[in-house]
Amino acid sequence: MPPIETTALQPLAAPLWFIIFFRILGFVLHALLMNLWLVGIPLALLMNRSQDPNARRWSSRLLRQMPVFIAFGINFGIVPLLFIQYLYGRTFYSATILMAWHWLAIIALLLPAYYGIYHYAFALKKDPETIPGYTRAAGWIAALFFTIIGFFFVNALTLTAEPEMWKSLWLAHNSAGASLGTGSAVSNPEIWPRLGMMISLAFGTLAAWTLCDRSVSMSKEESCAESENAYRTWSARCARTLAGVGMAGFIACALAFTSLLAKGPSLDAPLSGIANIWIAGPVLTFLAVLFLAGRQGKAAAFLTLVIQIVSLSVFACVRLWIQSLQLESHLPLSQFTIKTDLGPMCLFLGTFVFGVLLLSWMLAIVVRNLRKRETA
Amino acid sequence: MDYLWWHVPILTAPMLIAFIATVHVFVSHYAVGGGLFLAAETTWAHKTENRQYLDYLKSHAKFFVLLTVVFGAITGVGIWWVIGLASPLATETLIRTFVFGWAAEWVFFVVELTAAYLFLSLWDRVTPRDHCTLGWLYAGASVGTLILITGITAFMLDAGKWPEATQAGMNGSAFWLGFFNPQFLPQCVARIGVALMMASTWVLFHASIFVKSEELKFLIVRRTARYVAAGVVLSAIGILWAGAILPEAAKLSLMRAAALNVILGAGVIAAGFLLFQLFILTARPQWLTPASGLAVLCAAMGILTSGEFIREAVRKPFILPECIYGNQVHVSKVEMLRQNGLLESGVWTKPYVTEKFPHLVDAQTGKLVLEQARPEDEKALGEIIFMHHCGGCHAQEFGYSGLGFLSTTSEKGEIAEMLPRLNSQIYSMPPWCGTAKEADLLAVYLESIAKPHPFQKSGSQKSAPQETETQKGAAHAAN
Repeated sequence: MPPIETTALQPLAAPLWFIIFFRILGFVLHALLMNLWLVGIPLALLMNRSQDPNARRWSSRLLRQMPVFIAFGINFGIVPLLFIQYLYGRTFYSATILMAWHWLAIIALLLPAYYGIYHYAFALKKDPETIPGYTRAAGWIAALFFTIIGFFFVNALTLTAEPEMWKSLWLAHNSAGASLGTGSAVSNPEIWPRLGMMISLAFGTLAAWTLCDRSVSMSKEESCAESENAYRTWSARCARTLAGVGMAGFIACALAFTSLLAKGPSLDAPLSGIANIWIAGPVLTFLAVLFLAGRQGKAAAFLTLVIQIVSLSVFACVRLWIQSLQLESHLPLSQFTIKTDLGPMCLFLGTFVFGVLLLSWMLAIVVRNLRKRETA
Repeated sequence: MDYLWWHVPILTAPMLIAFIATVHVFVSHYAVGGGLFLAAETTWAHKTENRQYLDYLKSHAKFFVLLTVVFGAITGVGIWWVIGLASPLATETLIRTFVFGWAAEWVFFVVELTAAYLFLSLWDRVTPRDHCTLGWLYAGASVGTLILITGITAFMLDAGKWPEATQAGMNGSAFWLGFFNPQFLPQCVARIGVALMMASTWVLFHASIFVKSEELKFLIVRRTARYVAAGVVLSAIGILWAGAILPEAAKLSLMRAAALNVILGAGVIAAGFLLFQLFILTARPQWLTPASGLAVLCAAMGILTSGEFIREAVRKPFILPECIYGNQVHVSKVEMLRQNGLLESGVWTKPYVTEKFPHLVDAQTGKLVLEQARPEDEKALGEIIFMHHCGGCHAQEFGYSGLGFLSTTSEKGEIAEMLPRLNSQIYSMPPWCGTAKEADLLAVYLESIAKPHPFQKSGSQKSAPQETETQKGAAHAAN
């Protein structure tokens, strides 16, 4: 048995469904934005060098919005990480301690990556036609760092869900029984399809962003009609390609992942059914993009975004289910006792509702501002 | 003993927390104070229609967002990362107690972030009223995050009745009991004051570099002086109030630890220096140059570093008061560890010793029999005990609070004799959490890394044990 403390945990302060709901909500919001930087940055950097003005326009728009996506993406990641520690702290902490330096490196990599993207976005704003070499280098370094960060996350979450891996890793990386923090889960083949699934989903999100951004950025001026039509056609083709690549990649990775799971410690789960549910998400996104990409208007574009959110939610729910099954023999969900603590729960819910109201008010200001600009 | 230990050579894992936390607070306090500053000053500038000042505030807001949203936010996440690695048991307990406090803080972060971006990007594009409201929303949300996190950090210094109540299996909410601890209000007041001071110094630093107009410089310095004054008053009230109601053990630590005296002294000198500089600058705004701006900022950072270091240090021997010791042992488990042994009871130590020293495992009971240890095993077993009992705060031979230097001794057996009564003389140390045999094993290891006594000639056993004990006591207290 892996070394996991077995004494009774403090009771949960809220029902399990409540915690799982917010964990999934936070994860979906985080993944939506994280997808954009994971695949969006390298693609946008490539497109930025293209001779095609449509590709450059797509790239510039994405990169200029990227700092805001990163800010919110990191922020939304707090909730799932908080609740994974709340439920599975006993495996999460040991897993991250085994790879402590890599885990901590996420912070060290995130800072330059984030500032690198800011630097690129400022350069684009200043003069999109002449991006200096060092700015391009900063962009590529940021893209590389974000990919490494994704890889470390997959490592940590794989180790969290599979304590069977700990012993060999720990014995290979310790000093008198204390972890040196230099381990990783690379010996586990599951991490590659896991990373692949996340990257594939990112293509779908990028496709949805392409359509949404097009719907809000198209100029209605007649003098621009030709270039706007060209961009409309280009972006529809781009979105379809992205969604297609995402779907194909996801199918391959999901099948590889479930077959690896089937070879591992026996899970009491219908793995082929899981693969089918998973695959349904990106297929749905692909179909939505395929049929809606040619349509004008915001409704069609935002419908694809909603479908992608559903796809990410399905992915998150199934992933959570598998995680709980993998940990069932070590930390069964049934062991959690619940002693609802209404006071703090209400504090959070009250803050949440109030926060949503404030965000809606701020959004209303933005919409009002956009409309004013449109009429002007 | 519930979690795996992370061994950080030379520096020790808690010092990584200290490093990340210190750089974070420079910016996080600015995020709060700067929010109040920007909201109030933008409101004033709109009201007086001072275009020049509004332009300056816009450039400052850009600097503010770049620093707080990126560096402040990521180092904040960094603290969370590193506490989970260095103190998993304490982090688990904090999260289990305050999970919804943190969740509520996250909502404030989202509002704060949205308001910050909109405040900057909609500058001159919305009505002054909407613009000011966005600024005040940011300020309100950032004060909200400060209040929520102060409840938790103040709890770590004085948990009030929380430990007693939770140990007795309380029925009410542990959250509120812990959150509204005795240090909560004074620390909130102090932190808001420090936030205003920190923001003022960042504003002066920024203005010293980017503002060329003497007239504008004059205005900025004079306007900033109000925040300095409010900051000084609030932080002085808060710090004195918090200091007056510090737990007795913390007060004693502050008085007796030479290193803390020095740090406190440095903090007081930095505060005096800062006030002097701010006074001079207010009287002579034209003296605001990049050098004086940087000096003001560094002095403020010095005060904050000293304050945070003291706040962390006076908690010893606990990470969470009367709940978890610095060596990740729950208070309730000390007796059990003394009876059954640290190596036997540790979730990770038992499998490790079983793997590396199979001959120590009793075939029938499966328990470890350390008495069967061979002489060549003793040092290695002692090192395992060191890692899990001492490694959280002490480096090995060299490094932060390295025991190679602190164990300097002349008498053989002296360390073994001292270990079981570790905390009776040096109360900032946790109690010994192992058996007598384990103390002997640890002593073998410590003697192997101990540096020779500087005043004792080789082979002589003449030095006075009393003196050595005192030296060690002073050294421990200092660290």
